[in-house]
Amino acid sequence: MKLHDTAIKTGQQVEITGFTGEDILRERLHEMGLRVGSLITVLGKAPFGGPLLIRFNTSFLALRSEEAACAQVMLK
Amino acid sequence: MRSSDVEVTVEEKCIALVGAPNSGKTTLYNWLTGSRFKTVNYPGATVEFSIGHLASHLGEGLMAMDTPGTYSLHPKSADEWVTLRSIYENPKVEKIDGIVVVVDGTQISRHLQLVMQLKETGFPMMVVITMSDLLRREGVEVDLAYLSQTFGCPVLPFDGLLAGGLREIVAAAQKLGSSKTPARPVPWGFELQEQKLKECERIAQEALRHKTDHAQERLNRIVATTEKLDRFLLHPVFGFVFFILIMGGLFASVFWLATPFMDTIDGWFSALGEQVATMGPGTLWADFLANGVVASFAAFMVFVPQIFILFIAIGLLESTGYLARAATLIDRPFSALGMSGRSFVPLLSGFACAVPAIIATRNIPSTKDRLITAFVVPLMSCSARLPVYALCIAFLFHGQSALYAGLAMAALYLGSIIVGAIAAGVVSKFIPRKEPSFFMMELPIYRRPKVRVLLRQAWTRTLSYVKRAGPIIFTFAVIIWVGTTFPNYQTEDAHQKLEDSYVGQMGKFIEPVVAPMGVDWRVGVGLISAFAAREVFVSSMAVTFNITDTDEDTQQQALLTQMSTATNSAGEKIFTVSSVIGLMIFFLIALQCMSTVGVQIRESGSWKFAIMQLVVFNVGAYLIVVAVVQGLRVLGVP
Repeated sequence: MKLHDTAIKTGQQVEITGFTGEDILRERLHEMGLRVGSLITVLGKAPFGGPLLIRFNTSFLALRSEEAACAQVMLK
Repeated sequence: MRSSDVEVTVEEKCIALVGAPNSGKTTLYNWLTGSRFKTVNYPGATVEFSIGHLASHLGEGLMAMDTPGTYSLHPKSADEWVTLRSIYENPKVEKIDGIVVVVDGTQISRHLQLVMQLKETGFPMMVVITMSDLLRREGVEVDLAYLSQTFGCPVLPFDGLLAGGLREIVAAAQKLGSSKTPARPVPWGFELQEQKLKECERIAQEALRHKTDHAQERLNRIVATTEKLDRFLLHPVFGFVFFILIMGGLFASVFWLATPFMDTIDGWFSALGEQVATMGPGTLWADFLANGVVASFAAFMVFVPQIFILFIAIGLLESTGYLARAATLIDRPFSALGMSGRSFVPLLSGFACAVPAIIATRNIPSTKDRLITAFVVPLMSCSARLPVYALCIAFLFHGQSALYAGLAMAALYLGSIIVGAIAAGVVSKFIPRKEPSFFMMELPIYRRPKVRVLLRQAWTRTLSYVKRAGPIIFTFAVIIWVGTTFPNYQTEDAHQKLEDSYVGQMGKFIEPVVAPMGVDWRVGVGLISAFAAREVFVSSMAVTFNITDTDEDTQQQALLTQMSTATNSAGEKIFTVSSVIGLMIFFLIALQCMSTVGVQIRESGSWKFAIMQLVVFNVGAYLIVVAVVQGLRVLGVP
């Protein structure tokens, strides 16, 4: 499944299994510190269906759905 | 615009501070340079590089350069390009002798990627680990010797709150330097990038594990508060309520907190004006000083407290980490208007001044989003419009409850946001999208603001604002005073003197244009002078209406009295409810600031774009005002 999948509930932890999508987005995700094997906690969504809020280690990130769609994940 | 007026001497070394956004670079830069940086440091994030000498108590022979935050040496937005260029082909310094990579101590593994990239280029470098105060509080200790050994360069801690470690950083930076030319960065490619990231994580783990038990748990405790706060501040429903409360509180405090200071400054200038007038009653020079110089500066200086408080408020949001959250909250509504959450910081800065706000759009990666944001920025009511609004509101609600005035001001700000939203929605239809728009925002850990840094930043920003406006105001004070006094300066009748003056003649010439707005030629003169700087409108009104000749307590009181009695040649009142509302709307929409047009040309790289904006905003403003004023009069509003 993809990171923005609605089946992933708030507070759920997922692991990144791969990347797809635009090169520039993927490169930025890596620069932000995400890689295959990164463990991510989904914290919820901003109002009006805004960006997805995630935490990994000590970092917090807000991602639009299109951006989150670049990350393939599996439930932990 | 110059990014710095600091002179670089041959013997002096120059080091560049490079690091990810929110890594604490600018705080380090502030401590390193003390009061000796002469750069305009604009509200919002650093978007220009800025250079400063080392603070005198730290020694001599070193210059420091602050650069916009970047995650890598492979730029994805205009501000990241500035960082790359400023270290490779800096127009201000011949060569960068060394790089200080600033690494957030709570984000070591992620930020080490940049250290690795810089290492590969061969730049002489050192690493500074910031947030050491936060780490210490949780009992986390980083093995700096291990990091130093791994990267083959000095690694030092820095505490941004108390500037602990500053001297050691300076001593290490003095030693940086090499005769070799650094290589250009080579992009890694995804596979290598993931490997490097893994490697960084391993190094960071080691550096923490050596000296701290349960390091990751302790680090998690540092971010626990942030996660808890965000549960409220980014809540799907309440998040937006908090957002509105915080922004409302920000603007309300700008007005309420500033009032006593404004009254004090107004008092000083009135006393000064009277003093000057009594020194040479009836002489031309005393008239020039009192009615020309003092009156113009009084009209402008009164608003400096508001500008200062606005700068503090924006700095506060930025340094606590809320600004990134605000951008996240607003991303969805903004993308409906063709912008992105990243447009929020430039638009908020636009309420202080459009020039740095347009530069701040460099932080937006997509060209389309950036152009739309830059187009809308001048519609946000900048601080130069405050004096005009304040005068108009004081006129409309003279002697009534302050609540009305506050509501009217709020309506004006809300109005500028609504007009901006409409403009963004319209213009987004005309700009084609070339590349994907991306948002991806790091939400920094909530931090207590550093009052010292905050106050000093706000102070330097205010000072540079005053310095920039000062000469323009003085020049126009002279021009308008001369223009309103001569040639018929011996006439006793003030009204006659003004009518016969050069300004009066010119004003009469343009009167047919401004008349449909419900005002006379004197206001027309003010509107023309506002094209030098908007705040000049108030000072030129003060000069043309000769306010120091009256015996009111304060300068503003005097101007209001003059305004309420002023009549045109037909004997009708000039300042009525409809014409004053018209004036406010005109200032809300019109693009009268040539610095804005200049920076727009530079940043968009297109004369067509900037000129089109200039014409559309001004013609649009004029037509709307004529429609509103005439409409109100038809409805029976005086």
